[in-house]
Amino acid sequence: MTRLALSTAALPGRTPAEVARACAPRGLAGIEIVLDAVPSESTARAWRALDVPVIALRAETGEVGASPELARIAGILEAPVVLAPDRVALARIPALARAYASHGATLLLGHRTRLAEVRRAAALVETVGSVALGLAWEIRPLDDDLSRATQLLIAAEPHMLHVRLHGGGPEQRAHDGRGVGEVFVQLALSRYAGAIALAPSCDASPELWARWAAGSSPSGCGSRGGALVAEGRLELDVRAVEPKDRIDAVLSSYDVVGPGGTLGLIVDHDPDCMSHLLTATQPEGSFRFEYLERGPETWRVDVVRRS
Amino acid sequence: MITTQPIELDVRTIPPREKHPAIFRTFDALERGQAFVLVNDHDPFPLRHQFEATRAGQYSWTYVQSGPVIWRVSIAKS
Repeated sequence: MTRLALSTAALPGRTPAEVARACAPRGLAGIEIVLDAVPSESTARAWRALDVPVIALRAETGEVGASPELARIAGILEAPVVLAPDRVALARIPALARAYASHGATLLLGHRTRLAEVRRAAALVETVGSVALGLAWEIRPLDDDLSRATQLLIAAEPHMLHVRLHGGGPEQRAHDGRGVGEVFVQLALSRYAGAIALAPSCDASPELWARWAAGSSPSGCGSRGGALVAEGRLELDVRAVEPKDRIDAVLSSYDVVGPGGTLGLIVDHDPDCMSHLLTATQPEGSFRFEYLERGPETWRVDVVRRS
Repeated sequence: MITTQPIELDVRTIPPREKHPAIFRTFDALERGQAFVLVNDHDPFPLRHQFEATRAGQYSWTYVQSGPVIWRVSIAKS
């Protein structure tokens, strides 16, 4: 089973215990802890008792990543260590892998969405031949060309054990059309069973992630009910509503316009599914769906209710 | 013992416009008799009607988990 996890990077200033508690509203199954130093043994033992498991420790600096002591801590915590890409020289990896193996821990080499980088790291994992070594893919949808994700997965298998998505969460609408969907289809079809850690992109605001983690809509602008723009006509900009709240927003707006009224929907995907939603929930023939604009980025439809 | 991992697609990480195409791409890639587990943060019941409209008789739909935070549906190709 894949596990969606929250990185401590998403909630700066909060402790791992606070980030672990923040997982519940979103149904997240674990946390990734970004390390600025090697934690003590007592800290590691405290982390074992958090609300959700620690699914990875992320070493951002070469100094932390190359520390054999971190291997011992990872063994205590029973969580893999992910090295941020390009922080530790590959020549040091075989010795580190031995340290991790001796503590029953796992070291994952982070790489970006670059085929040559993945092949080099996968070759090293094969050469060292240690079960203590694996790969961690860092996906940055705003910067990366995701069209070669399939080849990348083939090159990385079966060593891919961790995925970190920079963005996702409250930022996912900014990734529309970048190919993230296809990446996760390929991961699913390859039966990927590791964790997917959500971390903010470089330019994300901490407030955006804090609101999202609390379970509220990222827009937070009270647009869920739609706006009455003319007598008998309500407009709902679905783009501003979080996916999980969209069904309720469409149904409640549909109720508000009433028989004979028109609900104008502005959507960031083909609203075909909303036609299915209304077909499933309303009496047969009680509405008509009229497309005013059909993508590729924005769709507009009028849902005309029969009098 | 060799255990086969289930195919699992967590659409919570997929941007809105790519969600449904990703779900149908995964389904269409299945062999007959195979299934995948769809993970979502709301009840995907409208999607079931979309399956019914486009792939009637070719799928089965079984709730594995029904909220209140996470929904899991096993969608099999028959």
